[in-house]
Amino acid sequence: MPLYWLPLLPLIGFVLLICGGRFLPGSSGGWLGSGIVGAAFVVALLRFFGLDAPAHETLWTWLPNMALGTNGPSNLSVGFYLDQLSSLMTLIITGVGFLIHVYSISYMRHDARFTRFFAFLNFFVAMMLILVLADSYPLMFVGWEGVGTASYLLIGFWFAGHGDHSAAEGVTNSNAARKAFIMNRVGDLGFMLGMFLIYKVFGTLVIPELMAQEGTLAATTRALPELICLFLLVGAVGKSGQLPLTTWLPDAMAGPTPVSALIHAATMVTAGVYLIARSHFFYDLAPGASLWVAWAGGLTALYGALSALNQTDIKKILAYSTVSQLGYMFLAVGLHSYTAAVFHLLTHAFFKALLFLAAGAVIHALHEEQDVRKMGGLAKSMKLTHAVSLIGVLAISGIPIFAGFFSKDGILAAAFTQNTPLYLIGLGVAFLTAFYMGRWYFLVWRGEFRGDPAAHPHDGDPLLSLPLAVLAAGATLGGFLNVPGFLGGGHILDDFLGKVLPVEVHELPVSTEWLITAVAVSAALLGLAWAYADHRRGALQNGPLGNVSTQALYLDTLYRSVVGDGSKVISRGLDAFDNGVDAGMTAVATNTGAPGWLVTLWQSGFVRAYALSMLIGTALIVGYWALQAIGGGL
Amino acid sequence: MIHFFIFLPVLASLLIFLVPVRWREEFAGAAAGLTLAGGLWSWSVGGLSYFSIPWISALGVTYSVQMDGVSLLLGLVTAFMSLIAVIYAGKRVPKPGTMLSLILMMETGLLGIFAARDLVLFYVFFEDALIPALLMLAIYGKSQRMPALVKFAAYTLLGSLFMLISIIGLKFYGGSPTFALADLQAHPVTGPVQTWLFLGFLAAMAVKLPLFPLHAWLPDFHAQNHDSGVADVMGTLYKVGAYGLFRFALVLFPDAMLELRPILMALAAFTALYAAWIAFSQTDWKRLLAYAGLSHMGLVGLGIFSLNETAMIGALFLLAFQNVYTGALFLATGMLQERVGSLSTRVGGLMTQAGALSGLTMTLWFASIAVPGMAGFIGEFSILLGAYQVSPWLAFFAGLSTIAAAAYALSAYQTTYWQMRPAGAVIAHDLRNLDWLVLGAPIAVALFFGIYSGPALNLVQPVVRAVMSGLGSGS
Repeated sequence: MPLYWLPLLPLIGFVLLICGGRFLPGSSGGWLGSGIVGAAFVVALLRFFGLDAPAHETLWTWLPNMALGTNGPSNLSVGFYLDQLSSLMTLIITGVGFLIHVYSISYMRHDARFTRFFAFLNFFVAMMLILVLADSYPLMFVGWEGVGTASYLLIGFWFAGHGDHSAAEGVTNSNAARKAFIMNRVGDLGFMLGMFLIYKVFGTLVIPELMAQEGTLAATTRALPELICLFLLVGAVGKSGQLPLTTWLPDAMAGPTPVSALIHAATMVTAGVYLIARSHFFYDLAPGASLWVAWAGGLTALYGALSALNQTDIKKILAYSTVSQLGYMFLAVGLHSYTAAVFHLLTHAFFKALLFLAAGAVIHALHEEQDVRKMGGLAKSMKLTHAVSLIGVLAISGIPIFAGFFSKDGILAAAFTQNTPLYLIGLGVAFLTAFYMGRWYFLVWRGEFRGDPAAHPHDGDPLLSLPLAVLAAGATLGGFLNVPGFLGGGHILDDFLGKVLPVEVHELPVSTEWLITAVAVSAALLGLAWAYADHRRGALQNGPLGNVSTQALYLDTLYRSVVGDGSKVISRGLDAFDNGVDAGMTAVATNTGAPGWLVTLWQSGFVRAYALSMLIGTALIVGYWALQAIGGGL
Repeated sequence: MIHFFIFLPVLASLLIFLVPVRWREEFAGAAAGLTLAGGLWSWSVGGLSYFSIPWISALGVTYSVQMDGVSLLLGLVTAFMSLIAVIYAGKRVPKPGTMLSLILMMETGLLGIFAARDLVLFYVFFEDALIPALLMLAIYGKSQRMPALVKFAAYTLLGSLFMLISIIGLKFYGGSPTFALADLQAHPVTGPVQTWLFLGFLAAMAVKLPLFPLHAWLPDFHAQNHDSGVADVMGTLYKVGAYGLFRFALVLFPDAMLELRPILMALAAFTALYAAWIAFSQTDWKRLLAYAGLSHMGLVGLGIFSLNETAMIGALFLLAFQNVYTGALFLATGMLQERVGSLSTRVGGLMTQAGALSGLTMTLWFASIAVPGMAGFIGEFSILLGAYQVSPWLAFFAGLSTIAAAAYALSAYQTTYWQMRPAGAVIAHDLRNLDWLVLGAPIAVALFFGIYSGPALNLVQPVVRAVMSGLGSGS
């Protein structure tokens, strides 16, 4: 199977669904969309098992002068590149994507724009596959902005509120979609500048060609890779919702829950991590920029965790948790532990998609109720959803044998060996994560039901439950892909990715390894215990830090007042100025025209005046000739 | 064949008054379609080659035309968008005979501009296209059309006057026997005179690019034109400043362009960001589109002025294809006005009633703000990449306009098409019959050439390479 089938299949699905939506009755559009992503998953599997050396397949020429030629630049082609890293990403995207598609058939069943929803989801999957399979940065940028567009369309899916009937909700949802797009564009400019600089130095934007130039790269001054990496970091930060471009991601929860699970947790937001891992050959030469990456990640992890402490929306807690977990991944890539980051990306895709879908099931069962203060005690009525949620909570908290334990442990070990402050932050975040996820769990599932007594929550139908079960299995077992050596496991994933990514080998005594693990697990247990104690006291509804946490450290308020309002004021100012430019030009014209009025005096219409003019004119001419004659005589 | 391609529209524009009233739409459509077919045929045979005969021998004016490469691409786009404009005008404008005639007359002027290889001929076509543009505004414009018309005419004519002087000066100082481009090129003017002549030429082109601060006619021109947006399509096509700079200034005034490069690039980058930012606070769709177009033109200017090969390819690519989606957006705005009776950006909730119109409009907007996969991206990306090689800071500055573009486009889109339809507002009907073609065909073009850019690139790239190698300075 040629690689282009991977993005092409969901793209065909998109075209069919968007153009033929009216001919697809009932939920057939949903089945079509899901089936096509399933087919893409099969292709991804085939290519995964057939994968040996990296495959590079080019199609047609696309951009002028942006690749290397035999003499002078040649045109850049659309091409796809499959190696271990991108293959793993295609499996996550199509696999998790397929499950979420199936889930959505049930979840979106009563929506008036059911088929369109699947069209957009298909579009997203296609763009995400282009992003990870691209053989050049500009093509990656196609996917990069494409997923941003899909994200815009899906966050704003209920652009006029649920059932087109809520003006206020419509404005909120639309604003959230727009904000996501604009903040992503800020990052995209950074990404573009990075590409421009890469081109300036190497004369090409094709990734395999750049990899082949490692020698040239090492010979350049150190400042160049640093600057390239900082530019790319801006792009990565925007797409992955890291500080300082983080505030769009929590707002993105305005979209339907499957969207939050697929785009804003499992796949799209990890694109930043992918970009940095893909560009590791630059980052390996840029220790300064890498440290920036690590700190951006560490601080974001802390920011997300602090903001999650006192949220009341069932999805917002998970959203801030996503911000925080992405911070872990950035921390890892910044420390050049690429495999640890990708490992966490993989396990996070499982457990965070699981948690979001479980939250969706709850929201569904409670008729669009999202406030955790009005939940509680659901463990009794929604047994399956409760069980998988518990698995998700244990996995994200880092409790042993669950997936998050292994992947988080790898990141903390890397931080421990390289950077103590970042390690301490990581450890603190692990503790906070366990607390707020414990809070989420106890508020939703334990205690007494605090919501509308008329509601009769129950588990969803098989279409809702099946994806939950599969993801729960992944969240439980996924960690065994990469069991660290001191626990007697083989590094399947490290070995696999090690063919294309540098694997960081840290030499730690086994006793230290055990110590790191023990400390991390006790931090997690402590966090959960704290949540449990508060639950027993009935004090969970008001989390720590009060309004500071609810308002996400006031970052959004700051942006709104400084950047948002500021740019509006500047815009109005420039508009006024532009009218001034116009008026200025008009004034110049008026003043230039003014002397013309004097000439009109002359054209009085009186014959005597004209006669006088003629006389004066004749006299002048005669006089001129006379002067000339005299001059000639001299 | 080349004369057929250029003059068929103007012939039809005269004959249309002999055609019975009820057949005029079909007649104009057939003429525009035939012209486009002629263009496509010329493309298939690799362009129409150089043709030159003396026209006014006493003055050294020749009739020299050629239709290949960049000219052919722009000519094709002109023929295509004229056809779309004719189709929509026939449907939308009541008693459209005059409007159709003016569109076709203007089409000839524009095709002539792109085909001309003689500077006086260029000037003649340049002024020729102005007359129908003015008439459209005068006949079909809105209440404040006269000030807008005077402003538009004054800017254009004043600029052209300087251009004419500089054209005459070029022949005079260079000693060329004719005004044909090839002759002028063979007798170059050098030194400070070249700079002064360039400034004269630039005056006309900067008005038509347009470039800050000579752009003030543009928002009024668009805002006062007919609601249907048909005249705006032709007005957009008429923004030929960048083409004139590329075709003539680059080969006739290379030293002056190099000398003034930093200033001109800065001015263009400023125009791009400035216009985008102003667009953000517009509440009238046509004014917003005017500023959006101005912002794109700033980028085009940046690409031309940077004298970098990649940037220049991008600039010409963007110049060609922004006509397609900006033009189509004007027509989409016309459809909006037809349905809700307003051009305000605060209508609200149109997508709940007219889904296809809103969806296609959104697609066009994505094309306009250069989402990759659409033709605009190839242009903007190449421009910024090339400009970065010359001046990183100016590229960054102009690059900020991509953020601002997302802000103004999505904000206005959201308050018109998204959110809730106000209670009691009129029910807007969705696309009907030809509306689909009018919006769908431009989208198809923008998508096709955004993905498979080869055919268009092959028209632009060799020409730019030839011109740049003639300059001797690669970047």
